[in-house]
Amino acid sequence: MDIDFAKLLPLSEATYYVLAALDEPLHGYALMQKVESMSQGNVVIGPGTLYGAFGTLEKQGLIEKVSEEERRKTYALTPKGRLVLAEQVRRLAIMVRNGQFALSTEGKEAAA
Amino acid sequence: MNDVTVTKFKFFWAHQDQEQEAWLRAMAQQGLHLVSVNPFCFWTFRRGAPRDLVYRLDFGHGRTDDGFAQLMEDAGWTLATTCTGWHYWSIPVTNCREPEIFTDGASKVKKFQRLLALLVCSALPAFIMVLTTDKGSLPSRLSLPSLVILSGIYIGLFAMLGYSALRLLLRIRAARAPQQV
Repeated sequence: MDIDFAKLLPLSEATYYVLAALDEPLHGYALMQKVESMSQGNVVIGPGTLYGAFGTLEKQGLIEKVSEEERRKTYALTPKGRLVLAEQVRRLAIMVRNGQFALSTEGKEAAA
Repeated sequence: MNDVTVTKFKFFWAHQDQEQEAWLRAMAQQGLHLVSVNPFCFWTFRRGAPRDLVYRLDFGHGRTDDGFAQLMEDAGWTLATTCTGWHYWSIPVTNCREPEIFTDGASKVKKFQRLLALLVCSALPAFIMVLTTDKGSLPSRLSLPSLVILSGIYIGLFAMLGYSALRLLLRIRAARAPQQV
């Protein structure tokens, strides 16, 4: 699969959590609640923002609508969405290691 | 029935969504709950028990957009009324939380862009009319006082729209700013 990562990454914090929460198919409100709990309250996504994100991510082919009951649309991650999320996680892991290293050396210097 | 509904006049500029939200919340705390508003800034409230409700304004998201309305209702929001493309949503304050409809810069920017597009489109026909009117022949067709009044109305109208559009552009810049750092 040919994916233009430069165009899609980095994901915003909200978009990142939308993709990460869609490891199971969810409709909008369930996803809002899941993101809030999995981010330990750090990320709260408003309905307007989420609705816009659904539209954008669907257009980009990262998520797809799997069902629609009454007026509730349920979305799931596509294989492309999974690859984009994986690449973002790989980059974030490097960032986290670098940050932790910087903080640990700073700590040692301060202690010395 | 006069004691049940109250109508008030209060003017807001097109870019003053936050000011409207704060005012509507203060009214609800006094027991006046928004029923409707018309384009001439007359607000109708129903008198009831005082409640702490957060009001949020959305612009765009047409009525046909059922999926959005459903998501809002699922999340606990109630649509109080709609006026010229504005949607007035409210939600009770619980645990000191003041919910937002838009929680990131990009989606706030889009809301202001939808509003700006409407402002520009609504002014465009009048603006083109003024530009294409044969101004040389106007003094012979209109008396001086009516010419002054007419120009005054148009200048005032464009000044108001221009001011609101400028303030909206500043709001768009402010909403974008944190993401550029």
